[in-house]
Amino acid sequence: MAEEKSQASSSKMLTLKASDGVLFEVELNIAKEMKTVQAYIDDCEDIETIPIPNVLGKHLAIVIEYIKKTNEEYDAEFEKQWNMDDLQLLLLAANYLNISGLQECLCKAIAKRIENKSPEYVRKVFNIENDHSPEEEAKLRKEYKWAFEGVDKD
Amino acid sequence: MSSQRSIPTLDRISTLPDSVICHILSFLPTKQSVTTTIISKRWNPLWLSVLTLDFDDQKFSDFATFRHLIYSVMLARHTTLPIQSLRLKCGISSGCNPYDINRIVRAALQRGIVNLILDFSYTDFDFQIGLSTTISSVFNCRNLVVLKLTCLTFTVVPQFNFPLLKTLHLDSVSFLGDQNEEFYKFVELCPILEELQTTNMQFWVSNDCDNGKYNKCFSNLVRAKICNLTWSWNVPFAWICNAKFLHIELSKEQKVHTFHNLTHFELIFKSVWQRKWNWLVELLEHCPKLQNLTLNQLYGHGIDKDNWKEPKNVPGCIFSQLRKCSFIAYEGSECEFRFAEYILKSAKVLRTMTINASLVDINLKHQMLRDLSLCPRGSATCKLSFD
Repeated sequence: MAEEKSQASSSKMLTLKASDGVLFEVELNIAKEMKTVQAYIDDCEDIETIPIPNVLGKHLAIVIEYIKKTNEEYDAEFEKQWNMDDLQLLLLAANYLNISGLQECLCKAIAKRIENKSPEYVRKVFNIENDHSPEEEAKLRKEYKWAFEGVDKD
Repeated sequence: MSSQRSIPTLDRISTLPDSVICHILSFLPTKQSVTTTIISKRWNPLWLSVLTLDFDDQKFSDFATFRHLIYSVMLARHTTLPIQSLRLKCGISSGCNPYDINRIVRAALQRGIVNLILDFSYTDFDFQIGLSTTISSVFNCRNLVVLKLTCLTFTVVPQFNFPLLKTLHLDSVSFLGDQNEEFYKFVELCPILEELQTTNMQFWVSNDCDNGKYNKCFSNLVRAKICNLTWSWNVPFAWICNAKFLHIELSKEQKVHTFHNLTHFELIFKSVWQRKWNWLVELLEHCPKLQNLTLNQLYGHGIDKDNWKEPKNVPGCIFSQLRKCSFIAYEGSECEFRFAEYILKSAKVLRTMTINASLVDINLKHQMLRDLSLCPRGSATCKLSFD
């Protein structure tokens, strides 16, 4: 099991346990940026280790780093390092942990990667199953003809 | 070890709530957002809940089709659903006319817009003159938090009040009256402005310090970026002197102001002038908290008209605050080198000096790196890096 220590300070430290058992020791003020964790602390005051069942250690590390470093410059460069798979998993983590700044940054990044792509491409990238029947889809394409004009299949 | 690994074939997006998918859609052009309706039954209605509208006529060959898209979207959306953000860029499609634009903007602005971006690049003077109704509608909008205008001509600036405005970007916006007087109204009537960006804007700011009226500044300003001034125009330093982050393009010497809060300064030199080097030192003397300095094209193109003279006293910020100094488009001229050397030896808390000399021949670059590496350093932790 890996253990990561954040900078020593006089504020209280908390341990977060990722889904794969990786432990992270973080300062209270960092943990509080995750509203889900904040709610956990509010409910059980004396808690020292908080389980984060939905997030892998690899992604929790990235999330914690983001909270510590976020600023305009950092956010602009942040998304460039991750592939689409990681971006999606990070978004799930940000949503579960309820971190609005990170969620905004990730939604923007994901949108950037699918911008001006066809709906077929978006389905493929997100692995979404098309549960429209061919007739239903044809009807929608007709109804919103004005939006589909000029859209090429990639 | 854990059995949970990322499986590429999983549809993870679908586990997210509608609000998050809408959040992603809000960053897409509206035309594309509408097409997501066919993705799946779940995605079908989502675009209709997105509060951001983004229309760009760039890919439309004619304006009529573009207009049809806008009206169709507005009709499809629920009438009570507000529009939080609107970005409208048009002017390039054939048949684009200001009268339809006036109608569209006026209708949209009645839906509670908070963030507004209007871009009329590619339109001419006659077109822009026809947009006076648009301008009135915009300036009647007291709830604006973000306002970005590109290519507009004001014959008259209407009465306005933007008590909530935090971000203002003006690009190629001209006032037919007194530029100063008109723009000055923004200084007075945007009390909580935090970010200002101007591109290709003309300020005839006088260097006369006693003209108190034009020396008022945006008191809450955090960031300012002033770009694309032609050589004769001035930088309105007095208005932006409270900023923490400045990005300024310079074509000539400007009267120096004190920047009490400035921590990050990026200066882009569009030309050379006499006394440039000493002016730069004088400027730095007026930036007591400066931590990060970037000098772009410090040498400039043309003959170096001045000699570097080492100042008697080290400016306070260089001595005790400066942590990072960067040179972009460094050419290794005598004065540039002397200045870099001066910073290296005088800056006691400098952590990094970065030299970007991409325009220079590789052998010359090695020579430059060697020369600079040999300079004595005032800070033991200073790293010199070459791009």
